[in-house]
Amino acid sequence: MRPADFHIEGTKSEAIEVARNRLLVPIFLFVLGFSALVVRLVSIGLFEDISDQVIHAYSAKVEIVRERVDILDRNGIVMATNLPAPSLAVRPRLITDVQETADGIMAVLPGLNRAQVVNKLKSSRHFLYIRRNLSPIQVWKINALGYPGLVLEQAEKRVYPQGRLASHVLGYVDVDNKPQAGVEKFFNDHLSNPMRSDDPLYLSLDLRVQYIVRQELKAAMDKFSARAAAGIVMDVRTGEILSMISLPDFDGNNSIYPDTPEMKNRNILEPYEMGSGFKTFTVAMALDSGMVRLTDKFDATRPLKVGRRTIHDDHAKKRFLTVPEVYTFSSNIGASLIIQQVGIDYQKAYLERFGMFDRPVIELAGRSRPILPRHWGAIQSMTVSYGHGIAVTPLHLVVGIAAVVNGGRLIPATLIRQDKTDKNKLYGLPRSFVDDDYPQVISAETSRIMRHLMRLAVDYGSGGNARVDGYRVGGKTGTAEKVINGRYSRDNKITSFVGVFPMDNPKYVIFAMLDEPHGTEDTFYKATGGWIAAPVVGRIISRIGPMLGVVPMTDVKTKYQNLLLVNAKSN
Amino acid sequence: MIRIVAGFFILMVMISAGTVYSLKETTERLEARKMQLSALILKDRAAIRVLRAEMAYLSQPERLQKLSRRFLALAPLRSYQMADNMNGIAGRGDFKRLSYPVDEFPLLLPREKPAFRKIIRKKIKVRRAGFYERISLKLGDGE
Repeated sequence: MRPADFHIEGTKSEAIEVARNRLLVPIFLFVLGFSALVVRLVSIGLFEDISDQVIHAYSAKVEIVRERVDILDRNGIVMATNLPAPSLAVRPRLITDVQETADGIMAVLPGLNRAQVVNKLKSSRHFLYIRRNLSPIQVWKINALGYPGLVLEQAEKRVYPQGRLASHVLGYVDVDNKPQAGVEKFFNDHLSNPMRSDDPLYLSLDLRVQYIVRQELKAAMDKFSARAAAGIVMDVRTGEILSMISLPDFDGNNSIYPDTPEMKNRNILEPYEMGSGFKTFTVAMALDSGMVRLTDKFDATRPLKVGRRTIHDDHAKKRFLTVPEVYTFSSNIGASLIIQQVGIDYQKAYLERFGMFDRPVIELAGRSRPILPRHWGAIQSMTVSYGHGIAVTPLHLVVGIAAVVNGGRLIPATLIRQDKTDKNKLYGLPRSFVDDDYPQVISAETSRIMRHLMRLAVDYGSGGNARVDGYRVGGKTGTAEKVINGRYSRDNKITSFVGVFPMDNPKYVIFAMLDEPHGTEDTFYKATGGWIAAPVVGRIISRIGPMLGVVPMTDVKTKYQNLLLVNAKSN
Repeated sequence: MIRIVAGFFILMVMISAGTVYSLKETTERLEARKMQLSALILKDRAAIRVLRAEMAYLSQPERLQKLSRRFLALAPLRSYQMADNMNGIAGRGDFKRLSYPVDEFPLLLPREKPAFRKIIRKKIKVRRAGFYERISLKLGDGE
């Protein structure tokens, strides 16, 4: 008899029917569950790459001890790595003779406090750490003691072989290898992923450049007894930061004391009034908006009275100045008159396009907002035109200057080596490799003019000390009085210089800033950007230029010299 | 007939069992070897990591600069020592073409060496002497 012939009718048949229908639900759920498993299995097998390290560790049945991925500089030199550094711990219950064990430990680790060690050995707890980060020789000696109560626990220590050199960019990790600052914190997802242990993080920093910038800044800081210093070298075409230095700095290998001055990355954390460096933006926006022509003249014969304030020139020429003269001789009056012609709305719109209203863009934590005037009236507009009343971070200025000289595109700064051939190397960050994707803030023509003006400022203006044989350096000095107790102080100044080279085809922006320098005999006791920061940038360029393969050229004629009225003697 | 077939199959079973056993043996041995190798690879990688860290530590720019000042007669590259074409080379403005070699690059020779070379060579001589003196003093064969 075949099952199909089997017929049940009535209530029983209905019950079976219901049971069958109900059975469909679990069947459906099971099918769903298993198909999800199949999909996951296929995706793991096909699409997820497992690192070599994991495969070996798996087949060697060893636990991967490596906790963090290496950080390298752009040439592949190790800047941060993990090294084995076992911790010494104790299981007090397995200790038989406390005094003898304590003697043994003290012989190996003389730096410990004996009373504390004895306390730990007597403790009623299961497990206590005595000392972290032992060196190999100490490990060997502890093992040689042979006490069963002493445990050596495998651990890794984050090591920064370059010491202080890039401390503010790299950041640091705490005793549990948890990142606390810098790139370590920003890229923690990548760095703490054991699957990526074969895929080190390539930074855009160049250690050699980093060293040179640090050395020159340190020398200037000591010479002029400045409180602090900061410096940046940035590639104007890619936004790569080749060097970022903030002094004083710290050593990530030693113990860290947060909230000390050493921990501050002044390049992104502290907004400063930049002074005359801002005139670059004022002139650029004036020329770009078409409201001011290069040959226009502005009356700088006498200090400018606006409301209750008077605007003075530091290097007063007491005559009518053309736009190149306003920029070259750094005339506050001229800049104020220019911005009067441009108008507040244009000024705000342009500054916003230059990124001066937002936090600076870079792969670091702790970026600070610029400090803008609360009320943006006629007076504020004028002070902003020469860099007072607005405080931005050095990175703001560098990115803005890069946009002024590179053809007018605002390219955000980055700490990751840009490799156009390998687009996967972005460590999960969205970034465009197409130049057109970056906003055009000023026209290419204005950018070309600005390059000549910046060159003039070094040739004839206050930035003369930044001149370098063989390279055409352009740039602008900045000297700003610091606000102390709500008033501008004559003695405490921020001096800076933002330089660009080579000027006919800009490659790098170099920024140097010294906080509260004091003039020396060499500088005729002057503490201005031209005397203090400009020579630093000049020396940096003369050293990194050949290193970065920038070909020197015999002099290229700078345009618009005819618009400048200068003493024959001053050249 | 059945006996032959059965005997054949029994033989086959024994042979295949033997093969499977030996295969398993080999695989286990290979597995053990692989584990050993993997452990070695991990160990070596750890050692390489330590060495690379040490290399980075020893090649700190500051340390290298001190060492090179002390032991090498080398100076940092200056801008005038670089050129992207023949005309850009300082002091080599005029040169004559000697011949046309088979490849298309004409051989260019300077008429005379730039003056600054002599100066540099002098400096090198003085500093080299100092270096060897130091070494010979160290080795004790100075006297």
